[in-house]
Amino acid sequence: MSEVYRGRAPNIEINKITREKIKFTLSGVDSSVANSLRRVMIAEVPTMAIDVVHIHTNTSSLHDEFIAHRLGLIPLISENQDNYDFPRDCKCTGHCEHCAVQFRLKVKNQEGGVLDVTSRDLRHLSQQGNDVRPADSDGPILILKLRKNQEIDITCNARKGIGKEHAKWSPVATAVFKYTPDIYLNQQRLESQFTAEERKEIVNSCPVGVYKLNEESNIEVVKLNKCMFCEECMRKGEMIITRSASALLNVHDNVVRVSQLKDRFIFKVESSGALKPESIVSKAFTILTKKLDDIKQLIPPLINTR
Amino acid sequence: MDESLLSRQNEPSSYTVMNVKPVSYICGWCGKENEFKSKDELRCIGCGYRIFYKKRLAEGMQYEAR
Amino acid sequence: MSQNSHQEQNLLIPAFLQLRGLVKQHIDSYDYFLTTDIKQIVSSPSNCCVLSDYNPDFYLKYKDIRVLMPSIEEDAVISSITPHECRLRDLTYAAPIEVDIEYIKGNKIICRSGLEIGMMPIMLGCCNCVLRNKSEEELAKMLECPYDPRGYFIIKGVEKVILIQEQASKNRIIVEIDSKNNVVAQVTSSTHEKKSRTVVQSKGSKIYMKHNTLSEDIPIAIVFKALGVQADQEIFQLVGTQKQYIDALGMSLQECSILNILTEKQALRFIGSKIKNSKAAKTGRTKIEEARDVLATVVLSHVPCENYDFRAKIRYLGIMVRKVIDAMNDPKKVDDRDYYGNKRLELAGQLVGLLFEDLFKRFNSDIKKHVDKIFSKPKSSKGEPFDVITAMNKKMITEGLNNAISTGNWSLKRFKMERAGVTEVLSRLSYMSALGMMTRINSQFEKTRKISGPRSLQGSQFGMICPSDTPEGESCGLVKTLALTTHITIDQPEEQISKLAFSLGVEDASLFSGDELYSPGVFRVFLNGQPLGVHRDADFLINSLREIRRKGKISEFVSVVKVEEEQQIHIACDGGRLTRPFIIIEKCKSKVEPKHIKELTLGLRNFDDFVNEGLVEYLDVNEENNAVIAMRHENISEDTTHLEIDPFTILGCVAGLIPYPHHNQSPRNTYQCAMGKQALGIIGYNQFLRVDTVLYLLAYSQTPMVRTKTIEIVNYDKLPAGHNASVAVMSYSGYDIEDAIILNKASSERGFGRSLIVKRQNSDLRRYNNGLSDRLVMPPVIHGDNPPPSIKKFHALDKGGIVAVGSIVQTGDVLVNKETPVNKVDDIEMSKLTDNDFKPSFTCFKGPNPTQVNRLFIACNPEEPFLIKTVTIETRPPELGDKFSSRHGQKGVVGLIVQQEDMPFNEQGWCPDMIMNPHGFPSRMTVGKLIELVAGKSGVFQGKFKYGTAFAGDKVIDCGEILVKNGFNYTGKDVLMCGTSGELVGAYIFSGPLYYQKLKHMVADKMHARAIGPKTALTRQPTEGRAREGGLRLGEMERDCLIGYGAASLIQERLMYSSDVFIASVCESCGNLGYEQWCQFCKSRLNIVKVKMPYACKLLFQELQAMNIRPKLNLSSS
Repeated sequence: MSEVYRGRAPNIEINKITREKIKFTLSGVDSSVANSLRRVMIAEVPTMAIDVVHIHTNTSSLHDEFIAHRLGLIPLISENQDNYDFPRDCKCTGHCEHCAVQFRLKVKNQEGGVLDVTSRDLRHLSQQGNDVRPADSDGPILILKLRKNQEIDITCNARKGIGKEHAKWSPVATAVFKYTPDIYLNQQRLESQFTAEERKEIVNSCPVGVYKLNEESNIEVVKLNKCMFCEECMRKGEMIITRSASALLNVHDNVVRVSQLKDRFIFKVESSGALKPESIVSKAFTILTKKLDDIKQLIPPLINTR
Repeated sequence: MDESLLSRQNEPSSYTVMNVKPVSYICGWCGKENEFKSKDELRCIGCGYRIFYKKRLAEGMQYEAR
Repeated sequence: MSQNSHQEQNLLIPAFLQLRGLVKQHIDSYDYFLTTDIKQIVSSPSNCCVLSDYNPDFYLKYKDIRVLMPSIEEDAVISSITPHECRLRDLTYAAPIEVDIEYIKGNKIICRSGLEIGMMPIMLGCCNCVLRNKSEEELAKMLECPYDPRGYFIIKGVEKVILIQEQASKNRIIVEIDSKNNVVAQVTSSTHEKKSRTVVQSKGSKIYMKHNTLSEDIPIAIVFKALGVQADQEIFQLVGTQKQYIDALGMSLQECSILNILTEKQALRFIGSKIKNSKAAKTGRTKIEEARDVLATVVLSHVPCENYDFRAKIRYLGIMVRKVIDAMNDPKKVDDRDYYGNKRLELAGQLVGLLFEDLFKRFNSDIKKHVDKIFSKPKSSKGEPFDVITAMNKKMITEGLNNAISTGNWSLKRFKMERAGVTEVLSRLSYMSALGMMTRINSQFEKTRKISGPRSLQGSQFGMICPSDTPEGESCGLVKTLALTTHITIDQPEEQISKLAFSLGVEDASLFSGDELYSPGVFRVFLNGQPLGVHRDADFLINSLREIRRKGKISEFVSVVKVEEEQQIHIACDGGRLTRPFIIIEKCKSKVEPKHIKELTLGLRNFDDFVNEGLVEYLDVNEENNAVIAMRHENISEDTTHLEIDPFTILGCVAGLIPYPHHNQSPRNTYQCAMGKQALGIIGYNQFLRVDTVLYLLAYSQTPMVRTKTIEIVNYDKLPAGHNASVAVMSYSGYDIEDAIILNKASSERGFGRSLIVKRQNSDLRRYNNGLSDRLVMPPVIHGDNPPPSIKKFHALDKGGIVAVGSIVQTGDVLVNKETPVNKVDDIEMSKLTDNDFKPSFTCFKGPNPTQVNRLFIACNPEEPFLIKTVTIETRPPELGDKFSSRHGQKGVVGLIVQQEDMPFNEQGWCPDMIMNPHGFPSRMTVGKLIELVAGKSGVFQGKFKYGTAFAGDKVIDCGEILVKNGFNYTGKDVLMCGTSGELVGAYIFSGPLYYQKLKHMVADKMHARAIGPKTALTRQPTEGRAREGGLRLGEMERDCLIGYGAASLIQERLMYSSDVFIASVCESCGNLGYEQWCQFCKSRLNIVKVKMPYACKLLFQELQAMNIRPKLNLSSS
């Protein structure tokens, strides 16, 4: 099917947006474009994350490096990350307000019992950078627990980075696409060669319920997007024809065929909380185009003028 | 070995002065601070416990959160 | 009964193990030693008093002995100690041994009670341990982990385990065929005093007795005569009057008359002349007296013989001869040496008991020596009368016990026994390795012998010993592991049992002539291998004894066995037998009913109640032969007497971790048993408080998704060692061949496989005999940014000369800047000491990566006044070459670490942590792993743990259905998209969670290369091995290649220039080696030339010269 070149115009259709999730359909492009977008979202959309941890006091049961690692993985809201430079681009030595946001975590359990230290205990060290804060709208993120008289005092710098360097800078929890299913039902053969009971069997074979029997007890595709290419329906159809359990699939001869549309992708992006899902997508596009622009810049001027 | 000689350069060479500065330790049982000179018996003044933990570096340490 | 209630009976296993713990056998045996055995040792006639040869009035009598609670005496203050304090301070967890004595001082009788004679190491968890019966909170206060198995000792801060030792059972007759095809019946007699071996052997058509005190084999008839059986008829009656016995004995009796030995005296004289190392001349006894003495005390020493009443011995010998003749006529009667009913397991209690008795005897003989010395001298009328207490050396017993446990060398003087390797340091690599060690059985067999018998799995080991858990290689099959429910018995008093047997109608053997013993229909009754008597109604005796046992009137571990073909009944109550519990079946009905189980779940009864009420009973290996045991409820038939509690208990605790082991090829389970002990994980709740030399931990250890019942029983779910990795079984990139795995970089950055290496380094400031001691020194002041390495290594020290806590140290950095006095012997005045009297001896850090000093503490113990322990923690994310393994003996190293975006993904956003190559499956046949994946995947979507318990567990069908219900493929396969291209992967990928273990073998600990480096002093060649920064050897085979290729210069370079090149001075005229341009032989420097040669070559010449061979060098110019 994909061999046929359809006069395609790229298109994006947004199916669903929530606070942490976006679902959209990208059509009219090849898998290379779709995949580039996915890869950029995972690995190249910058966010802020705690990177340098200075531990002054730590009498907790966890050791310093353990806590540092945990702090690093806390997602920080990075909508304004454009205001910050990558540490390598910043002119300062060490850190400054252009490349870092400083936090302090100073907790001591004085009451007794067990005290949870969470991302809510992270305090900004200065007035600046209040826009960068732990993304814990779903509840505080547990860092460690303190027993009576245990104490921690930590200052840490959040810096800008990308997921390629470390997974903590990746803005997404999941960023995937799937091909759009294309189901072909040979209704003629289904009606002529299959009994109603057998058609029901085909319908029931689908684990996700793509099919339904309509009033005339014919098979109908109802939830196309649920299809996960398990080919249970194809196997069932073949099985009913041959009545053997070990049916060999002869794709072109089958009554049910499942294939993929190679130029229509359903994307699902789940944010880690650092960025809004829609901004992840739009930033990914910006980065993608910037990359191409950067390459374009490298074309020797000679060729441009010719 | 020359390392040991180096350690002596700034110090007058007598047994007592060469000794290090006493550092205070925390009792592993009652948490009381104790100071020991080199020949002192290790025994907490407060509770008599004999295990002492050294205090952590005051200036703290820096780590990469990775 | 419903299906449900059948499954509920499995609750018995957790109940059993909860009550018992996993190391009950160790703790029970030590409890028995501390409470009973030690008292018996001291009250035994040979130990209970000390007399003097010189003063007949003197005596010292032990009236009682006790072991107190563990404590330590410091500065005359006695304080109690906890095990954890002992670990930290390098102390011994030991308790004082107190005795009550009565002795003569002057001419008064003095009683002393509570006199300390030494310190007894205390096993953790035993009745004298402070941890006994403590709640989790109380344990936490003592810094102990509630899941620690215990059952080990702490000697000088080191955890030591006394391994279970397997031995052939003592005091039992074993019939064998020797290498010359003779039938041999042998008994190893073992009593508290003596150990000896008696053999009755056929040689040709005659029968002889052999004993190691006798230089020659003695014809059996002579032995009988010497024991007082003079009539030949009587001998026949003792052995048997049937034809085959008379035929077989004929020749032996004839030999007697050929030698003209017809009377008891003649026979004794004959034996007397054959005694090795005869002491007759010394003691002035006759040969006859000595022979009688040997027969009474040494030969068959376990058979009681008082006042030279040999009747019991005669009967015993008759049985032995009969067995030999039986085996001569019927080879089937030969015993199987590897049969587990003939084995006994020795535990800590018995071993320490033997050692203590030996030391106590030596303690007493030392007192006696001292006392004799005092009394042999003329008495001075003045002064205090002599007090024996001054002659007591407390240190002897204390140090004797400590040394034996810490070295593992068990040397018992009275048995002339030397055994090495009895103890081992408890492995704390992982929780499982510690548990595995506590249940390990060591065999006394030599590892070098190439016999398969003792190594192979024996039918009688079923259910008692884990069929999977044994090491590979030289000790394969010799080192074994206990199965989950196995219990090892401890000694029970015999008197009660024998009394009971007699009142149940056993007729005393001594009332009968030999003939009546062997009449058909009469069963001979044995108690612990000793003939007790006969019984005419075997079934009555057996059934009543079993009934009494089930009623709880005698110990539940007494075993009663009927051996039909030999007309014998064996009652056993000795220690070291293997037993395990079974459900009793009566009239096809299980005695354990659902209501009992219900009461169990409500906590109204425990496992012991089941035993005491006769619902469950223990059977030992021998009694299993009398039982018809159904594996499952549905197998119960009319003959069934017992029911297995649950089939999975045939595995041990380490093999019990494997999900679906019954689907795997057997060696894979064995491999996993070896690897499960190397997996990093959580060691205990107190792991960060411990101070082991090295601890490997996993930062985020997870409880397995697919569990087994064993996992929950042994608390592996609380102290796990591994991760539930999302695995895609597919090929990727080619870096996954040969079992390599591909790792997701994002996963590892988020904590997958992240390990912590906790290292401890010790340093102590010693005090020497001359009053001097080690001292701490200020570090040099470091100036500038780039100091030389010789000074930079002091950077982590503070003003106290000890490393600052929290600082980062690297290999070579000084942790403790210590100096030792040069002169440690002579007295030196303190004020005259200068710095030159001290030399530096600092402690340096060793480790591959920069590491943080986590904590540091100082402590002291009676031996060391100032102990410094530094603990460092290093965090290590997984890297290329680190070893991982699943729970199915499938290990692999990381071949490539891949960015998350390059990993394949499915449409739901799932992306693997790890990719495994499918070629790992066909040849390994680890079907269990496939099932684990399917079960795990279904469990994830169900939100439930799945069970892969052996011979049970969740069915694949059910798991597949759950997958389908959740919108997945039935077989666990998924449609994946390629991460790099975005195309669909051309196959369905089998993917889901698998429990993966990170093994301790990590690249960072092994990586090694060198350019130049240290050389050995003797040969000047590069050192060997990573630890010494050694060179990489160009070996013989590599050299052969180069010779074959003709790369002469390369060989020259590798073997000489880059190794031990040496410019030797050689004298051309005499051909000898010279030195510094001078030939000592020619006394000239005229003809000296320089020759390059390997230093090893020069060394060889000199060594040859040293043994009077003169190698001469003839030089010519090229």
